[in-house]
Amino acid sequence: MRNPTLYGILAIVLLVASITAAYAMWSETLKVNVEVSTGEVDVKWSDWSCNDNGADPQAPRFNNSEGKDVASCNVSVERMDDEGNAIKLLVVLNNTYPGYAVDIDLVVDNIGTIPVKLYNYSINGTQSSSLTTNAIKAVLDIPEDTQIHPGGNSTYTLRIAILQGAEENETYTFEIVLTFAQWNEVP
Amino acid sequence: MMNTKTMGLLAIFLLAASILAAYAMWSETLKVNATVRTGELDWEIVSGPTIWLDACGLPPGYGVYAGNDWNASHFPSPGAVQLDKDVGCTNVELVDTDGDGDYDALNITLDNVYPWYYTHIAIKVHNDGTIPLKIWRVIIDGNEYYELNEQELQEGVYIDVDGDGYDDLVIWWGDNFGVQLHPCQSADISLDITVLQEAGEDTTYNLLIQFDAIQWNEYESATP
Repeated sequence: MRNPTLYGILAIVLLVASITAAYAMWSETLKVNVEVSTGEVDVKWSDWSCNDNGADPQAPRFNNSEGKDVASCNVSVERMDDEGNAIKLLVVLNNTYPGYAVDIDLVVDNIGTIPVKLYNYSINGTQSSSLTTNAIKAVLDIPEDTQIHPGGNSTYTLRIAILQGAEENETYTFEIVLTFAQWNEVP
Repeated sequence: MMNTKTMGLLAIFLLAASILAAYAMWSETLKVNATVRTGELDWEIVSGPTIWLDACGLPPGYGVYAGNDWNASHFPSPGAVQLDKDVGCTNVELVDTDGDGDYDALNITLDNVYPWYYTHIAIKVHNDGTIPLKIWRVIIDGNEYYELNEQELQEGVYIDVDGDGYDDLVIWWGDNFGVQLHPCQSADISLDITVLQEAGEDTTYNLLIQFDAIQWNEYESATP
């Protein structure tokens, strides 16, 4: 006597075998392995210089024809990033007086792999390229085209003049912030 | 099952995350910290070297360290002759008018003087600041005199102190105006004062003489 359970199992096996045979068609598979390597936006202060190398430079109307060296201008690195790149400079003008006026050239290098543009700038937290008080006038000359390609550089000139309203034996400070972003995100 | 409050918080969180992602562009920031320290323009009258003829309290006698009076015998030319009498006298007091610890003014008193009484006052000024200066001008009785008026100054300035229409004193001073003093340097300034014939009897004349210095790089533009 035949067992009904055995018939059932046999039927299932046949059904599975027929389905497998139907899908075992000839085929080949192609694959694409995608690897995305991102670049880097990175800039640094690479060079700096002040035009007070001896005789004090003067603002218009003031006269230092004798070539006196009374005040001094010094630029140094205040902060570096983890890679040893200068990211913050310290400009110190000492023993200044009304009429003393210096130009400080600051060179920005693009040390990344992506072109950058100046995205934002501020002096003392205000989005402006100049600062005028009764004591000092500071103007940052920004290049017309701020784009810097990788390996390239751009020079920004900071002009500082001491005004007649400056107090004696006083210290004035201000901070300039320049933010560079990838070129295609800056209008 | 999430309630309405939880759903709201989640929506706000997702919105904030999407905004931050949109603004998280790649960027780098460079900074410059600038410090400007100013110097000091300061000068003073040095107390020690200040001298004057016929100082009050000197005993009668001849010589610059004695009390006999001097007469402007060669007036209007410079010079004086010492007389044989001790009648008038000169007193000079250094004053710190602005309270900064430096003497900056002279308080000159001529006591019991008379026409042609002559005295000479010499002071030493010292640059005790950090900026070079030039001796810029002198202000006498409200009138300003600069080096450019040197010729006039060498002839002396006639001053009607009491405003009665007659000159009472004539003041002559030496050079050094326009002279430059670097920090720590000093220079001598001297004044000659002669009492004129028109001076009033029993009259006290108060005269303010002020010396002004200016930083060297503004001298040319500030001098008429």
